[in-house]
Amino acid sequence: MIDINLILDAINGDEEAFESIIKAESDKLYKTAILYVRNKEDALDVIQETVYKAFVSINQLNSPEYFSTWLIRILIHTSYQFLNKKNKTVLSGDALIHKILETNHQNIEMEVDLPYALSTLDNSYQTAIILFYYHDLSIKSIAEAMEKPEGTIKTYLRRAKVELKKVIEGAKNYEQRMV
Amino acid sequence: MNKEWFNEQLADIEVPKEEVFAAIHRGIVLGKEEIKKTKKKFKPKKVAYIATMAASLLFASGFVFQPITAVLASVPIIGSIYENFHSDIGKKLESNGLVGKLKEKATDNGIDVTVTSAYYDGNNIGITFKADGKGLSKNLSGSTGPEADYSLKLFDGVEQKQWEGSREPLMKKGDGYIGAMTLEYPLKTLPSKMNVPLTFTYMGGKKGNWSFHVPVQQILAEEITSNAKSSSQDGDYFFKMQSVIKGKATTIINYQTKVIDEGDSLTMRVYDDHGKKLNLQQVDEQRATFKSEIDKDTNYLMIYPEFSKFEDDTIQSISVLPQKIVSKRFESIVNIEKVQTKNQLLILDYTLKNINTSDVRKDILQNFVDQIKLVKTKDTNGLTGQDLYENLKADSILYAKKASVVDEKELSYQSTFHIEHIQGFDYKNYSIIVPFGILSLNSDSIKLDPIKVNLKQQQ
Repeated sequence: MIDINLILDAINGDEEAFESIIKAESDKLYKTAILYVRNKEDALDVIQETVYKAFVSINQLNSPEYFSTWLIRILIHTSYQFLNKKNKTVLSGDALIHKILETNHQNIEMEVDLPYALSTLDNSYQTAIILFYYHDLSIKSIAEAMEKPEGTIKTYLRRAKVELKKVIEGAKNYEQRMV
Repeated sequence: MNKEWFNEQLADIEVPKEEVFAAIHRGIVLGKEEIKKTKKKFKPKKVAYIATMAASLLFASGFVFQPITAVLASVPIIGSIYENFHSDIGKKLESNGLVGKLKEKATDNGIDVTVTSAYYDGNNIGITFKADGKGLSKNLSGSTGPEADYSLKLFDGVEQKQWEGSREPLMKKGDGYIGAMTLEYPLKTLPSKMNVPLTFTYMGGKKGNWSFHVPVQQILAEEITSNAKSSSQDGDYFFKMQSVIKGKATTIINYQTKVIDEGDSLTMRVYDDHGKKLNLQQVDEQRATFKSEIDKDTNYLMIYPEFSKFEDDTIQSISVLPQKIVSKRFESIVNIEKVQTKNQLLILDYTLKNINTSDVRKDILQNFVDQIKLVKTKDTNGLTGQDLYENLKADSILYAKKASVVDEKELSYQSTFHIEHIQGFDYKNYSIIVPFGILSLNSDSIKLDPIKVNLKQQQ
């Protein structure tokens, strides 16, 4: 739990306090970013962008107790933006070859199944699952963070679990067949 | 699948602490720049090395200073210094025998600090050290805590002379601690060798003064010149290559740029001919640094420069309605249609025009309208940007509660402000602050055509 006074200091422009509260969240930031973008370099880019956005707007954070949720919301938006940008760029010639090579490169490097499994889900399902399991947010808080009714969040979670199960078990079955 | 399973999976993801901290540092530096932009635009960064301890600790008194013993070993060492650290550059260089072993020691307050190694590749200077002695605190937070448990300064500690850098927390080793840091040499022309004037001012629970002149010699790097260039169709932005410096574990790209507004910022992606992306460390006005080396068999690099446009907040009185607020650099418009006060609330109705919703994400739009604020007109004094924020009184600005969508298709919104604490509130005394920069930074980026830089041109 981060000292609330440090957060207040950061809101009031104390740079050291800002750095230390961000660093206290650094593992969560990195792991959450990885779940979205699935490789180290992009995750680091997302963190950099998130910290930059947080730094310029922390003076607008009204309730210090929501700092962690606020920060993670920025990270998730940034990840979406990042993925969106990547998908939107129209490539041709040399650039296209690079993209293909890069994509293959990432697949080889992928270390865990979880980011891959999550990446197959719809964005809303993905975020609901991450906030619920990893950030320990209540259904109510997730509903607030995602600006959706609680009932919708429950539906997201239920469907997300079913779909994740399919992906993960599918992978296991595939492994077994390979043996 | 349950929470435990989920957390087990996550536990397997290794966190590259040093790189994450470096990314955080870069984010802060960018944020600081963004805030300072109205004063100093598109200048090379010279930002202070952020110490985690309070600045007052820098001024130590009553210490006993002992002479430094310096021995620069000429033989490179293999495989032990960086094994405990996360620095990829340090590990890579060490495995190639390119990290110089040192044994410079300084003692103060019962703590011995020894600089154990240094390297200098590209503009990165890596330094490792150890601290031991009876004066050390045994209860440092180490890698679990947010603080680095030590402070340092370069030269005489004057902020303008500090270099950017990143460092790893102290790590317990035997009876003492070890630490590693990376400093970035700030000037474009890199000296072939230098002594880094480094002073630790706080170490393992005690303040003191441990001064060093760390000798470093640049690892031989190959420089390839290029005059490849790319510009935007209207010619407002261009990127012209100068050279690529191939470090052993890092890469530097030197270039010239032209931007239309001083606040505009440059970023770039760089790939080699095998599709491997270089790991970007920092982009300055004329130099980009990368934390990865170019592989030997690489024939060319592809550089994708991208400029983001910047725009200051627009501030405009709402005393007369309707009011049209037009972006200074883009087409975007905010039309304020109605202002009403009801139940101690001020309700503002407005519509966004000339915004291409296929270009701007929904959440960015929401962020944009959430950040629309009101300010007492007489308190603005014609200021803008950070100058404005710094000079405002605490009660000058009204922040909106979340803005709500009235008509998604028409881009009509409503922002609500609490005014119960303001006696005799009259909206005619207020101006609206519209953060058009949020839209410009998140869309409309200018992507130049990629640039190909041949690395094996003279054959």
